[in-house]
Amino acid sequence: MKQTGDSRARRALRFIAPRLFQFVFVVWAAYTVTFLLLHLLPGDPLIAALSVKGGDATPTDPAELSELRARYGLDGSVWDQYVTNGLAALRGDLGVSIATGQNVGDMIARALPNTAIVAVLALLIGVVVSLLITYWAFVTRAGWLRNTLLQIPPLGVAIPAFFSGLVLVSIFAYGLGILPSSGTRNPLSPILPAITLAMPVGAIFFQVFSAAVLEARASSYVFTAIAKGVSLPTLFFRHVLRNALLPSITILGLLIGYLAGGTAVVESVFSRDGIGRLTVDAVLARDSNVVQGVVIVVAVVYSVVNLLVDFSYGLTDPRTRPAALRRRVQDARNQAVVER
Amino acid sequence: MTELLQVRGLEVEYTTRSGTTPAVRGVDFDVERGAVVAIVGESGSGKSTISQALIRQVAEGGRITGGSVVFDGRDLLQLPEKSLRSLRGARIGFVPQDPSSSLNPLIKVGEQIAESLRLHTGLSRKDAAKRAVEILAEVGISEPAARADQYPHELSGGMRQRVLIGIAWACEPALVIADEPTSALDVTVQRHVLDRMELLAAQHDTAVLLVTHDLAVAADRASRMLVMNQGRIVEQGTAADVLGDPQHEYTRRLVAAAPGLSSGRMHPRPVEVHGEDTRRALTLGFAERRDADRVPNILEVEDLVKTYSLRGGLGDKSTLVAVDHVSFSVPRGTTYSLVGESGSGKTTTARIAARLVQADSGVVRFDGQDIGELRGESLRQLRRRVQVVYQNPFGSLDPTMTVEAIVSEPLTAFRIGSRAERRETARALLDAVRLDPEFASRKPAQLSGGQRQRVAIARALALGPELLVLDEPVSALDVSVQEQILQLLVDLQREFALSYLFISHDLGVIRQISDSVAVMQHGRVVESGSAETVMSTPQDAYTRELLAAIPGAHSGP
Repeated sequence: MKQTGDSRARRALRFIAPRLFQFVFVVWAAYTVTFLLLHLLPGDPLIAALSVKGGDATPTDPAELSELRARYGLDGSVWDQYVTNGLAALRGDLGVSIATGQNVGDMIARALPNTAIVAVLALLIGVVVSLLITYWAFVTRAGWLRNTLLQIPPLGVAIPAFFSGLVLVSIFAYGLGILPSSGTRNPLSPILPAITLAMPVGAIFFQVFSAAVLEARASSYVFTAIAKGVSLPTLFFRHVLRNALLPSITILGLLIGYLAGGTAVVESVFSRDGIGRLTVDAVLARDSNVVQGVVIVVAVVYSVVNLLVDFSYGLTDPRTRPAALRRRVQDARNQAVVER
Repeated sequence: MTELLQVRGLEVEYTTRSGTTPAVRGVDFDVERGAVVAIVGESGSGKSTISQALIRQVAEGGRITGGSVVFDGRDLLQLPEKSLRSLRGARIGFVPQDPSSSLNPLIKVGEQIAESLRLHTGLSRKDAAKRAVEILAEVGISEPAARADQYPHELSGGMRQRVLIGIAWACEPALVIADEPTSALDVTVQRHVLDRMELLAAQHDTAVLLVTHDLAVAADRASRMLVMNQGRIVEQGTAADVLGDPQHEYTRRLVAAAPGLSSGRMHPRPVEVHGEDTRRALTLGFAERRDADRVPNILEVEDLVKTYSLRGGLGDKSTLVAVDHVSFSVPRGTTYSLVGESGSGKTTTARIAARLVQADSGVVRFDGQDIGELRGESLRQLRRRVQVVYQNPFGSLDPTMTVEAIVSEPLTAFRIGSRAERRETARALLDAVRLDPEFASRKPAQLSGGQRQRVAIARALALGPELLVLDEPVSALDVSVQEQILQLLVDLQREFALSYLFISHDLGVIRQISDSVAVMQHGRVVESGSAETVMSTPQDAYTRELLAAIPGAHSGP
């Protein structure tokens, strides 16, 4: 089984190329679809935005309007705008906000860290708590306890974020006074929003993860490990966990995509300046440039995450490594020969 | 204290939503040091449950409710969990049933053996890895150092089972429990694996408890046999005694049914004459058969080639020749069998013959007509004349349909008869496959494996086919059920003037039903001829090996 460096590079390329293509496609499609939605809807996007902003003071002078159009990148035919704005986005220039006059890229850059820290924290809390509950359910011998533990997390999905967020605020911020209730200045401020968000996210992850753990627990290779005399903790961390992570990684990728865009409610409840709130404000102000910019950024984040998820399969599961596929073919051929 | 293992009054029950069922009802037996003892029984007899109960690890929902398992002076059922763990893997090895799923897919095979060594012998990481490679060599894996570094999916089924045997023997246990260790393997592989187990047991003076459904395997390998039926041991003694002079009625049935131990083609039994009405109902879907200018061979296959490309990607061309220039013909009214091990191309050949898969090149003539180019309605009409029965009776029946709907579905598809007539026909067909017509209203889940396969056969008969392609129709069934289904097939062949293309890996089964045989290996037919000739005077080395690998050859009744 000799491998030349050249063939290994080709194999790696064969593994990576289609995924990179998919990445580019998703970002392009997100841009195109939002562009079409924003521009083919009835009404002029510029006038819509200006009328929200200025009310009766909306300029109607054609010269003034066309100057504004040029400034916000809304001049020329739809096709021209599609190409010009697309190319600008490729260079990292997302245009200027109609509502605030600020650079859209800057607005997103300011909001993104606030969202990211809450999202990452929420994911971390959700995953760690899922892991702990599942481990507890795994090692306990009492059937009723296991069943109870496995029934808790669905509650997390059932309780809406605006409610659990308010409950948390009233306890920890107003009642105990140990955590800030809103804003982004205090370094502890991401904690409550993160916990609020961790409930639905963690619950979804838990459902997939615990099902995978229970399935792995009933599998033959776990029986083999038990017959070897392996202890319960070793059994869980060495034999069950990695196998159960395989399906869970997929859901993790989807959840991160959800977090990247789905923080709007939490950010409204906690008055945080994040991507979600930025989007809500932009939509209310009919600020098409900001909406467009947010969609592109979220699409990029989502695609990068799923790219990483795809690659992590290869790390976690040897069966999905590209080299394995070729070897399996060889194996099928040699099987009868080797058998003898 | 001479016995290594003493089991007394062992009872295990399973609790499901529908209630509690006893699986093992008071079982007593002993295993002496260094002896090979076989537990034989059909599915549901409780034999696998015993093997799991011995290491106190019964499947979810199971509970050991009574008895004692004394191993080397200590009752395993009373030991604290920790002491039990130090026995598992160290003094008691376990070879599980299914090599494809019994190894952790994410851990290299060498490490899976080394884990057991580190756990029980206190070897360092490095020494354990080194010893694991030696063990791989001991269980007969070539290039053990390279193999140790591979993942389970990179190994064949036989090699995986060797790895599992290596794990079981790693710490030189006093007892190894082997639960159906070879039932998922091809016969030739099965023989090598069992030989290896026998050798290891002799070298290390290990006692082996061999759990198997295969009477012939037990007869070959075990010094003593326990026959289980419905959770009880109904007979035990030396292998020669049990097989030569079975006392219990169940054992007698089992011995009579075992294909490896009997020989010769089955004869059709006289058909009970159906009344005029039943006859009409039964043949409702039958097309008029042209009796004039018939060609003598119902199916002729010439020079078939089928190549599969395995996982393309960008410009990657690895191909597997599944069927390599295969030709044969099936004379009308006879059974033609394709025998071979997994990957020999027998199933692909049969699928091409039934026009379910297109060949790359070659000709398939059904009743003198080239069917390779059939399209649309003429292909649909061909389906009436060629029907397929699949291996897995659990997967091939829609679980949401009643038996009656399943059996009459082909009639519905071809718009034959009224609803009442179709119902009548379904009942007549069930009767023809010796199923009580009252089964008509049941769902597949309420039927046993043998009953399901009868339903599948009844469905295949509904349209009055001339050729049945039977793809391993009995290999998922217990031996005694196997025999009944084979007898049914032989009876139906006479009754409906059917021709069979029969696929099996089991030469014992082939011998019971075939008129002609083609032995396939690596997509090629290595030998063909009349069943009798091929079986009694095999010409090709591979055929001889297949025949030699049939268990039961070592010691017969």
